[in-house]
Amino acid sequence: MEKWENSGMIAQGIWIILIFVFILAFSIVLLVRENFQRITRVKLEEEKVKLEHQQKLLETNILVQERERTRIAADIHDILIGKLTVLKIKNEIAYDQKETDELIKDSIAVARRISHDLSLPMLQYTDLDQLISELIKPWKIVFNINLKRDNRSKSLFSDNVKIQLTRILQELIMNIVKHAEATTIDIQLRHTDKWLFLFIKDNGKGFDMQENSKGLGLKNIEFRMQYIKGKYKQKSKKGRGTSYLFTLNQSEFGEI
Amino acid sequence: MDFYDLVNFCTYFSPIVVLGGVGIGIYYFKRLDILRKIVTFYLLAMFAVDVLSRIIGRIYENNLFFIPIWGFLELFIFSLLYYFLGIKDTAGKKISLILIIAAAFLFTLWEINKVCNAPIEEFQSYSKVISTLLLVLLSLGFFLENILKKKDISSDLFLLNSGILIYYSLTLIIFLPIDFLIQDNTGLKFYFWFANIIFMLVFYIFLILSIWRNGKTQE
Repeated sequence: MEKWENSGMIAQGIWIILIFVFILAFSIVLLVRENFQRITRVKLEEEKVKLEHQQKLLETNILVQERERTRIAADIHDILIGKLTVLKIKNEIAYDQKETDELIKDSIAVARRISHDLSLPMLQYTDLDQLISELIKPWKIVFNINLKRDNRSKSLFSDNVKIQLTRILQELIMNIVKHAEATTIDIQLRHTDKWLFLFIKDNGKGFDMQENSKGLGLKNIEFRMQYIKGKYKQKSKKGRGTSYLFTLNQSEFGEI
Repeated sequence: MDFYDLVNFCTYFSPIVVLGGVGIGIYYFKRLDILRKIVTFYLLAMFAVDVLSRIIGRIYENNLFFIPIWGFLELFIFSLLYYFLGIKDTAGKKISLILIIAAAFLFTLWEINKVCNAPIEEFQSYSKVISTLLLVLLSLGFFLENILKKKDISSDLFLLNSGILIYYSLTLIIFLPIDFLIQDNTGLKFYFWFANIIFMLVFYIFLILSIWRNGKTQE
């Protein structure tokens, strides 16, 4: 053991180190605090963006509902009431049994279509395959539609899942009709014990995904997928068509 | 009253403050979260070490072997705190912590034996420094892990860990030249012991406030 002849120097050294370490530790604490505050700020910002997005989706949903009401009102007014008015006038001028029957038949068909648009028929007793087949049936005149089914599971879907997926497909077909200029639509439905995949692809003109922001229809699709806790991906390139992949986990298939 | 008397007088505040903390801890014990329960145990252990070291010091006029014990107890109890703060979630970290505690325990035993069999003039202890360094690393690790995982922590937890980090960083520097603090005969060492008592009292009060706040919030 050395003799502490220069204790003053040692003590001075210890004090300096002590002050230095205190400043260092205190600075670390301040830095860490700043970092945690930044993390909190970022999280709050993320929450805010999420909330705003949710708000936008809700607004979209309301707009889509309004659009649907307008469309149904137009269907009733322009087609159904139109046909019934023609029937009334024709009956007033000269009653023709055959023509009257034809017009009544047409009116019933229109009323049925409107009713089916509002609420999918026999939902409880119809599976998703059938609903999709029914939905694409009228469009087969316009497009070359290939529907592939790969059913590897006996699990069933809740009415809600069936409604939302059918509506999504309906919305996509309307998008293809309005914007895609496509001739072929491929639809693949794969159902396993754990997953449901719905893949839709058209051979239309496509679009630049970075240039085009989401329209009302796509926002509505996103809202519906969020509602059934599913996920979706969209791919498109100019001149190379557009494809959509919807996935749903078994835990979200829902109770029947 | 010279400076030595003042330092000696101040040492009596330590058991009084700690006892008060233990009382508050026991009063709120059922309502405290696991971390504050551990802090209460820490205060209880510090009270026991304080009282026992005074008694042994009076009887044998040498209580230096309490320094490694004190260091080990601090390491053990605060390791438990960090165990519940995230180490328990990872098997690798859990095993590392157990190995560190086991190694620290063996080192403490070896050092107690060494201290007891050597004259005061040859006194040198590293276990208190090592345990303090490990605690500084644990508190830094806790901060670092949460920052890297971008996890937010409560302000209470932030304060507790900051307190541990600052207190043990200072203690580490004070106890590094422990032979100087024991063997210096110029009286300068009492300034450091005085600083140590002040740091310790502030830390104890800080821990007691943490227990009290936690008890009050859960009320």
